[in-house]
Amino acid sequence: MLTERPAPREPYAREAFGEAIARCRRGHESDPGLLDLASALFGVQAALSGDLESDTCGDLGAADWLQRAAPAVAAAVAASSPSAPAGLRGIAASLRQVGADTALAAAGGDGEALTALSAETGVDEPVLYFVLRNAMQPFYAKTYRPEGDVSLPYPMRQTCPACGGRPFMARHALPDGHRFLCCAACGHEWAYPRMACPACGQTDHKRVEVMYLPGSEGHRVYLCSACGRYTKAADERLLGGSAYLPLEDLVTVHLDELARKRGYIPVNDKGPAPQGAEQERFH
Amino acid sequence: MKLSRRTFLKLSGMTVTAAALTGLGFKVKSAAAAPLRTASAKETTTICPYCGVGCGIICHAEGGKIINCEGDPDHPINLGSLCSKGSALSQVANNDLRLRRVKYRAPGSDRWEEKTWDWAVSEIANRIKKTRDESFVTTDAGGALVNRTEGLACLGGASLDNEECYLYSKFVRGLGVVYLDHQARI
Repeated sequence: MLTERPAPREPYAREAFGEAIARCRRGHESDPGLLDLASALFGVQAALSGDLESDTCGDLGAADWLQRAAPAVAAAVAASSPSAPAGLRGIAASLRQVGADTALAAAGGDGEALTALSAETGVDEPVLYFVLRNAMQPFYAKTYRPEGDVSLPYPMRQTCPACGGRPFMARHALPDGHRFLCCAACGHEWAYPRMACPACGQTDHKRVEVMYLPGSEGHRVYLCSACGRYTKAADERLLGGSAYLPLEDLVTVHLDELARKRGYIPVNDKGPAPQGAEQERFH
Repeated sequence: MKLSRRTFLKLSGMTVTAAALTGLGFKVKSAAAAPLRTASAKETTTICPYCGVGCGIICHAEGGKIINCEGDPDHPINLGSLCSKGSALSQVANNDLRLRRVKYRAPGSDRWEEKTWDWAVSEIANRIKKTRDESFVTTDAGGALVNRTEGLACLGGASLDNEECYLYSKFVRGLGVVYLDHQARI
């Protein structure tokens, strides 16, 4: 029987996160500490999102929001990490010190801004970027809304129909495996064809390889030899329930490593593929 | 893990996540530390051969062997759904009972003989021509020009698509076949 095409999931879907974290805890494959971190992140982001929804934040701009949200996210991350850098606790003062423009640039992944903030806080750039990106996400999710009907995969959109960001992961939804991409910046989802590369849009299935670990088929990596990029995907049918992509991303970093070892770069990487990539291997 | 600034600039989103987790003290499961055995597959689209609906299917093949079939969620006909026969399509390819060579049982014989495809195609062509020539009718009882054969009948299959049906119809009409029908009754 034909079923209705599923709708994209809103950011911070509590039910989906609850199902996903319960599945991960039952599976015993992921580091329990990592799952605690994911829970803490979800909790603080959902609370921040709730603040935005209830208008308690008034007309805060992006810089003001970052000043408000970053300490909360940093505290949550520090509380649930084995050895969080001490500098995270003083992130509010550091953000004020470097100025709004630099702080916002750092949250957007700008290398120089992150370096400046790292020098101020004494925290490594990747940790800073992780905290700032997660702090800004509720703001972007609220500020930008998808335009048009994003439950249909055509026209193909390689960038987020809400904020223009790039996807970081794909979800193959219950019950029939419709594919949704999730934006790394704002967390909105949109439908995308199963047989097209989310990075370059090419539809030649001969140029795409699916890699997975036997026994963990629910998490797959799609390697596109046309553009040298890879896309991780969580298949809800094989996982046996809802997938919450920010969580799935955290528990599958080993798949990133495997894909990078083979010369592929992530779907949201704007740069050229590294030399030596296994491109066009299947031609 | 301390990353130099230059190194960080080379890193991209996902790898930054791994680096961030390491920086927070997590032991990230490493493919290098414990070599992970990976498997890889190819996904290919096809059309279900069973009935006239023409559902879209994604076949997963590992090492050239089909390991799974699922409905194509983006196919406009079935939107990812499949009937029980379509869901079991991989059993068509992976089946010990599947005939892979031509088998021929001669009239009156009690045994099957293995033949080549060339032999089979030639034999079919010869028999069609022989039957057509023997049963060809140029004019009917009233003297009207008909140019038809009444000794052949053709039956199309439900899994033939529009273009195949067109070619099949053209071909047998060219032979003069008038008993042309289709098996699909959906």
